[in-house]
Amino acid sequence: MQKPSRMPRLADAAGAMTLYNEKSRNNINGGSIIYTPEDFEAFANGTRKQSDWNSLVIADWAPQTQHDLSISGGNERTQFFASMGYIYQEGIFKSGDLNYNKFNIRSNISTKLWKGVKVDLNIAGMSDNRNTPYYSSVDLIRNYWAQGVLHPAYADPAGTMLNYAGLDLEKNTVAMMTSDISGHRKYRKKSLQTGATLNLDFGEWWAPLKGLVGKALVSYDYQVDNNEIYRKEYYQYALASDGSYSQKVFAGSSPSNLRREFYDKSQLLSQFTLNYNRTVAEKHHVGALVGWETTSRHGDNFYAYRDLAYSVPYLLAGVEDGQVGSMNSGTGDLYDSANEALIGRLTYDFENRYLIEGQFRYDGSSKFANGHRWGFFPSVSAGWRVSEEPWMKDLDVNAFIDQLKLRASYGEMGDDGSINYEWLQGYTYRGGTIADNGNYNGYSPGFIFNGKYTYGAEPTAIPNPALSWYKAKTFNIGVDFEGGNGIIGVTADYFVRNRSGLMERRGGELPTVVGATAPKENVNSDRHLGFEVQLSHRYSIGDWSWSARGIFSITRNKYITAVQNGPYSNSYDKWRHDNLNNRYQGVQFGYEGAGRYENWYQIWNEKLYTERDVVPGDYRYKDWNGDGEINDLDEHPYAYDQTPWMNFSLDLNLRWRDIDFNMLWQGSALGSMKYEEPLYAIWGSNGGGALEQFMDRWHTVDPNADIYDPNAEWVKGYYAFTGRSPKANSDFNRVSTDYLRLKSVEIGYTLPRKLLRGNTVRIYFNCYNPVTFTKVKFVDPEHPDSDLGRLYPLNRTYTIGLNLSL
Amino acid sequence: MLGLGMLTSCVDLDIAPKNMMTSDDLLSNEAGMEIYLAELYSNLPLEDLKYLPERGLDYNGWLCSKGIEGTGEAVGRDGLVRTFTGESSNYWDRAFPIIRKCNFLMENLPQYKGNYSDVAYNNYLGQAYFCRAMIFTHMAMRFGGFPLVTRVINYPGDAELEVPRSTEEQAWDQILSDYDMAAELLAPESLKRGYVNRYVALAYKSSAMLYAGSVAKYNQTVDGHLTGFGSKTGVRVIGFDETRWEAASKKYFSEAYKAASTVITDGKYALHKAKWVAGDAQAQFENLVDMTSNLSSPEHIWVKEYLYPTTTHGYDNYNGPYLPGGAYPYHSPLSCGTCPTADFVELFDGFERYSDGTLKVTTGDNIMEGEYLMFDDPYDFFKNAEPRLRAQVIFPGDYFAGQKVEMYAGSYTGSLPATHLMDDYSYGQADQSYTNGPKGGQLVMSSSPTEVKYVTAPDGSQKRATGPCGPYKDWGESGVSGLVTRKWLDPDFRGGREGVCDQPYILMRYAEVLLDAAEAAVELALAGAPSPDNTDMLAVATQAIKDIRERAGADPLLGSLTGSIESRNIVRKERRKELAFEHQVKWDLRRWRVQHYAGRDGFWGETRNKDKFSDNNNYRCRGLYPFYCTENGKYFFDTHFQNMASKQFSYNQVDYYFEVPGGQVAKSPVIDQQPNR
Repeated sequence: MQKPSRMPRLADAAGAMTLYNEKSRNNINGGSIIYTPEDFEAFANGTRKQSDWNSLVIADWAPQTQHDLSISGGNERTQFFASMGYIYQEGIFKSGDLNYNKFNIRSNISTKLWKGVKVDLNIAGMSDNRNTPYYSSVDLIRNYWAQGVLHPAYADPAGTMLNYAGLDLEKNTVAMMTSDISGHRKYRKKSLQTGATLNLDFGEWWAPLKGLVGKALVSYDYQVDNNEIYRKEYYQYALASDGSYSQKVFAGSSPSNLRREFYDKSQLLSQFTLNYNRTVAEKHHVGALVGWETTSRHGDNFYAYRDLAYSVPYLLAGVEDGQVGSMNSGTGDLYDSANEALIGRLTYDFENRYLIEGQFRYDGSSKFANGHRWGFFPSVSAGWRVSEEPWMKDLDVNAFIDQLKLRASYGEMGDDGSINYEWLQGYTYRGGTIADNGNYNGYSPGFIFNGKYTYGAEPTAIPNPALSWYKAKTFNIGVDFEGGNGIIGVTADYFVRNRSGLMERRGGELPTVVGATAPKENVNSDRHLGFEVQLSHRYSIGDWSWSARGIFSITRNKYITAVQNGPYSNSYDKWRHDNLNNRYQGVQFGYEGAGRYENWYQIWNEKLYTERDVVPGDYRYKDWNGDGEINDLDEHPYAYDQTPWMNFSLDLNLRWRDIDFNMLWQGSALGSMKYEEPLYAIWGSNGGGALEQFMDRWHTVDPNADIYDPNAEWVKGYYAFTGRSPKANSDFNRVSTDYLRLKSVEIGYTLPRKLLRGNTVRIYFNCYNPVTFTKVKFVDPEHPDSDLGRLYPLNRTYTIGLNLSL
Repeated sequence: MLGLGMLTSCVDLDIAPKNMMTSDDLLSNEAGMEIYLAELYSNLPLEDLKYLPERGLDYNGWLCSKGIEGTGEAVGRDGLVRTFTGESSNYWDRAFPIIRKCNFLMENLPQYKGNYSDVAYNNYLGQAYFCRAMIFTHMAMRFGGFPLVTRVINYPGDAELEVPRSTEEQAWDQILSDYDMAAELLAPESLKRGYVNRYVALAYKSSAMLYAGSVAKYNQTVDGHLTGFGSKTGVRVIGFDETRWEAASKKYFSEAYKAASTVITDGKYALHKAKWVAGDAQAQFENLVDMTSNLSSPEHIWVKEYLYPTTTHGYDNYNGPYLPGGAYPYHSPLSCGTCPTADFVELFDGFERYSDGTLKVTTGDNIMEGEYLMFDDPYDFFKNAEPRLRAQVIFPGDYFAGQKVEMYAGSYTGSLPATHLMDDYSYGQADQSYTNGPKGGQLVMSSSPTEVKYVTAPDGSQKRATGPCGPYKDWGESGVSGLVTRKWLDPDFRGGREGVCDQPYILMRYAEVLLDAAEAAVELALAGAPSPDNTDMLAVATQAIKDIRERAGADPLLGSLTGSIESRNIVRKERRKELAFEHQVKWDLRRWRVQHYAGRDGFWGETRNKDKFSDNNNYRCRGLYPFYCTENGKYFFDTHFQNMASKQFSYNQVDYYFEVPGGQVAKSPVIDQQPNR
């Protein structure tokens, strides 16, 4: 069972009207109220209906189910593994039209054909269906909050006729989230992954070749997406003054339209390796590997849509006028690319004590021009198992130490990025993707000649044939330690990754008068560095056993070169706006707060220049540069960014006889987020957007008082008086995303094996996200600022399950 | 298995792109040239139904209205209602890629000359010149002098990548030369419908040269003469030199006159009079409504066509009247985006006036005197209105899409005689609303269609306090000035989602050419210059105004036009009336230099006292609000500064030249900022 957690709710009608009245009174030139006491009375005595939108739209509980079955077995010659699984999950919208189901199946067979030859055949298939209402979750949440509660969902008392009167743009959220009314989007994906491997053990044929193994792997993956997007025309109603209902089609849904999409993607992978491992003179273990890999990927698609003469989700019901058949030509939808690589590795260790390994890759990609396709990427790593040293074994402490290892590695990897023929000069025909709204709100890529629409062709950017792989150089050093048979274990790592040759355009250097887009070059660079510490502990005594593992890491990201930025008019402009050249990320610019205006004396005695309409409860800022004014020159680095620097987790396991218990804690620190749009201030009109949290605000005790009257009495609150918002990038609107969350807690019981004749049955109860400790209000602290606060809420899920092993 | 492995082990890394054409594919044949021309035309600065001055040329048709940019034609309710002092999508950044495409065509088409007939080849070349001329014109109108990029700059390769700004005069001279080349190369008939022809080029040339000549002359009337040198190059980037402006202005006016005159004498086009009948105001009104949609009209010189579902706009989605209860899909999703003003109505004939020229709504000689004139139906106030006004504005009580548009702002429940609703109609009290005014207690006004109030009619029945079609006092989507636009709306609009409209837009029509000729003729006569071709300038001008007025159903022109300020103002006023809601007026106000406070007496073409509607840099427009009187069941009108979502415009002489984007100035060592910024 899933339960949406921490989702903000709309205040009731009286609350919404109070807030809107306050917002309207918030005017130094003389405000007035919008909703009169008669309006309040009308809602209170039921003359005006208010719908409980919160419970009409968001369900309190949503179901989820998952089943898995796996079979494995075999004999000396042949082994097999097969599994099947099914999952079904419903979303938190009351209509239940947001749901997902998936079915998967796998069959792995491994058999020894004859001496030294082993064949594996693995086949896996998956089919899933993701069904959503025609409108996205973000749109539904945005509309549900923005419309508010003052206008009912249904025009009639029986609740059968959807209402449009008073709703902004006539969008009724109940209609929008119900597939039967407004249509649906169904995404159906089926994929097949196959792989066949041939393993040859040369040592079994000819003894001197012992240790030499060859492997040939061929794999073919195929995926098809078969999507259906159906917009259904529907009617809404309004109660007229004479008691009749007027009907109106919802303009945004008309006419009905069906779009079918078909995507076809495949990948063919092959890999041939020869691997040699040998122990020489008992102490030296050597190994060598050489291999050749190829990958080729292919993607294609088409789509068609038609306006429908009557509302069924089939193209046969379409009208000829305005029908479109086309395809998506983006690099993720239409592509043909190939890679080849030569790989090699050498390993050597002495008595399992000193280990060293070297690797290389020689990669080629079809994305680059001839002559620049290949890149060479070596890496090396070394380790020293101190605990195996003979002189260690003589120390007393050795009895305690199970494992102590020091290790370091350095390597280069290449990436060919996602580019599209940047080395060719030409024109891209604009007939590629056809907009389904006639491009009424943007550039229309053609012109009408002789009554027919002709598409244009866009020149490509200036080509750069030298474009090639960008490199990532990673260095890592670490230590592993475990002692006392697991009583204590420590692993610590430090890493640095420098990337160079990132592809970017020098837009700031090419003069605009040239009128062309600058070429993409391998020119940017950045760095990531950090460290991670892992502590573990396990112990058992009698029937009890437990283990714990905690991980803690800090990561910083520094951009070194970013040529796309600039030019800047002066050094202040560069300091303030160039966040990418030679600068660590994870810090935000903004205003520092200096408390609130508690009373009128504070406002009258304020030395800084302030606006004339300030009231008690308003936000006060720090004059950072001391010039007597609060303006954008006071913006300075003041808060962490939404990607936290520090992450930590703790996994606890406990076992007593047949009962097992597990807890996973997780958290992050040194990050912060900004409240956006609907969480920042009332975002809506006509009573909409008044979320419950906004009721906690500074306000006058008398709702009709003049807010500028010094004798009026104020009640304190969290937000300032309605209509007065803090600066969006100030610390009033920013909250630390430090949080500690109990991610999952599970308790299970395994039935005694004797009862079940050797089979194992385990029953468990699990809860995901039961509790979170954080300062972030109203939303989940892991919510990024994107989707402007309307991200699908995190679920608290309660599960009860059964594992059966025969 | 090994065999299968061998087959897959070698992949070809040489994979050709899926969707790329070469310039050869495009320039060597007619089909390719059509694609290339579609690319050029789709990027031209056409101010059609997807254009909003405030946003600039980003082709975004969302919320587009006409005439709300501080030209006095209309007002609206949104924050978009602002004077044209800048664009959020700056044209400087957008222009150069298209200029490059034009130059590329000019430089490379000669290689393929053999593939085409002479006529076709010249046409293609002519179209490239036309496109470049039009883009250059828009750059010069905004910035004055700008980098005259007349060659393809190769990167890497060319030693000199930067191009500094030219002087304003050099810019206009280059534009003149490009238009002349285009007119010479293009054939009189378009190769295909939609392609430009010689007359399109001449019409645009005339329009551009009129702009140049006016700037050269009237820039001198602005304090400080709005001219100066760039700090990096020392070039006179805006304005004209003291010693050169007079000759330049005469030259440009001559060229404007010559171009327009050629179009007139060659006789290919004529004013649309398909449904016109002399003396019949209804027929004349229908004729004008027909003109904007009838694609076979002889008036259309160049039309921007749309086609559902491929290329559409949303003009009816935002600007239709609010008409509940009819076939016209009102409020789909918004309405009344363009609300004409009372000041605009005052340009037209057919109304009673006070002695100061404003609309007469009371029996006295100004709005504070006498009692309100009463009408049985609001439409009666407009029954003698000039048909041209009726074709551009929906009057309260008139019909649209077969439905009566019942608009009145509120109901007066006080006793008769009804006198001035406000005590002070001056600029300083513009923000006072009717319900907060001195007679607020005697007025009942509904806030919105869901908060409806009722009053009692004289016969005892219930009547809505505010008309069902608005204007509701707290709901801007029912109009904010008491009037709604009619021009360009499609009465057959069947609603639906945003972006389903495809009625065409007339980019250039014959009436504009006539007005260009008339204005150039009068300006030349004022300057004492002779006629540049063999025609009698002032006779042509007089005939032009007479023809336009006759077609419009306006009062006829008495006498002839002469080289005088009065004649010039007659032409200017006619231009404001004829070309209203076609994105022309904002450019006219700029080139006449009448938008800043010192010049604002000439804002309306005819001379009006600027202090009645201005407060230094700021100015406002008035609405015309009908009211229902419960005591006698009749209607009266009040004119007041826009009372709902009130807007104040602001314009400064610095705004006649836009600021060059700061990023461009910072990025280049040779691009100058405007000297006065």
